[in-house]
Amino acid sequence: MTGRAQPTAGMTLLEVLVGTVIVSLVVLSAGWALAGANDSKQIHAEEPIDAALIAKEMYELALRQDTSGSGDPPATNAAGVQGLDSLDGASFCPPLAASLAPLSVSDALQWRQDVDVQVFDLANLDAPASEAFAPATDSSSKLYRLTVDVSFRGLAEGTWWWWINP
Amino acid sequence: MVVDQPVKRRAQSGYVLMVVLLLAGLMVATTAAYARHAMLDWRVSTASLWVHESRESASSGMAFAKQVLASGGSCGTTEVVAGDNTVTVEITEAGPDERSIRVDATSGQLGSTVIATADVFGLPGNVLPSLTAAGAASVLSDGSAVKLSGKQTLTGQTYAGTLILAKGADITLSDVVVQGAIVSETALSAPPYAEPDEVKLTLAAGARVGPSSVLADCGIFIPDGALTVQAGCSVEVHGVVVAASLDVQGTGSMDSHVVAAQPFALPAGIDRPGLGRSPLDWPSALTCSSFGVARLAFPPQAPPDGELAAIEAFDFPAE
Repeated sequence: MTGRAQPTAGMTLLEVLVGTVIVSLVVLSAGWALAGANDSKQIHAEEPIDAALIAKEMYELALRQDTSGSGDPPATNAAGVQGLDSLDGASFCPPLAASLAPLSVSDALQWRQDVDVQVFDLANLDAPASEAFAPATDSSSKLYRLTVDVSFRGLAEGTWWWWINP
Repeated sequence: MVVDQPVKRRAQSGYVLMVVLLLAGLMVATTAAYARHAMLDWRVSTASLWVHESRESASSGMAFAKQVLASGGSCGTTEVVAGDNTVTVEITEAGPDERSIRVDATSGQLGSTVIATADVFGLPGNVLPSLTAAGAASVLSDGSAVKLSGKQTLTGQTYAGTLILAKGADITLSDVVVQGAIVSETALSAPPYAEPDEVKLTLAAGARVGPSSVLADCGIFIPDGALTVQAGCSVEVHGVVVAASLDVQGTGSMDSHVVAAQPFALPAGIDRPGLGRSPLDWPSALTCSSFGVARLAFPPQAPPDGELAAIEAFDFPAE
């Protein structure tokens, strides 16, 4: 039987080294991805966005309100919202959207928005000039501070507040 | 029968290894891309609290800047607490009637910046002008000024100077010529004015007011008062008319701005010579603090150096 000698089958040392480096990179990248995802999940768990968005709906609603003062009592539902002063002391459960429709959120009856409106002077934004709503003209040196407390099942989820022009 | 012949062999496995390495490289690139996405996502996604908080803090800062301009405040840089963040609000003078606003808000490691240009212009709306300090001083130094108080009806008289209406005055002018402006005493101090309709001025039969050499281009300036022009009255006013409320009947002319805090309508019998041809100037003795935001910009945020370096260092897989 005759024939030439065949090259040895298998991988060279260089190929093995390159393969090892690439596999290592894969493992490292996977770890990096998992760590990033874990950070993201942890931050979202610590600071849930749901309550912030529910509070923001009230801010958007307040921006649409007349600031001249309607004299209406604090609102407890959409029909009671008749100007910014009706949001001072208002409480909504289920929470309201900026469109005055009930907010579409799971367990809506467990969420609550509590709203407060204070009046501040531009020269002193540390202490309120009035704890309660008071009408102010467009050109006045006053700013309204809208504070929204959001709670879920009776437990506070957070407080958010904004400055609003008269 | 056995035949001796060469053994056929398959090609060597080096190509298989190459394919495996290429696939592994693709996996590395895909995994790294996802890792970067996962790393950035919690900081810049719309589901991130930082994004919302920085934007809303910037909105609060802009509300502060707008109110400063609306109330006639001055330029400057102010640190404003908005929510859980501190916002830097910078108002600078960009021109005689133009202000530049810059609001910088940062939440966590994410910043939001709003840049606006506001036009400051003299459009009263429900914001009445006020006398400048120089204008008020000019009235107070007018030696020919006459101060009227209480409830009076003046008939058939001519006044050669400014008429000052004291607080609570209820004055009726019938067939009266005032060779100057009519100003309420309250208007000589800075707003906000005490009570609307504190002063009442009624023009009856005939009245001519202005022009004034003391308050140029000002006719009747009672931002805390009610001006009534009775039906049948022939009225001629030279200069700006400002009142908290206006009830104008009769006929005649008013040749400049007519403004009031309360809605009003001038009857057809009142001529407005020159109105509509070109914008009317406001007297230099008045301050008009109204403004409007002309342009808004939300400049893109420059990523931090660390992120920028990571982005630049990332090698996308070859197609």
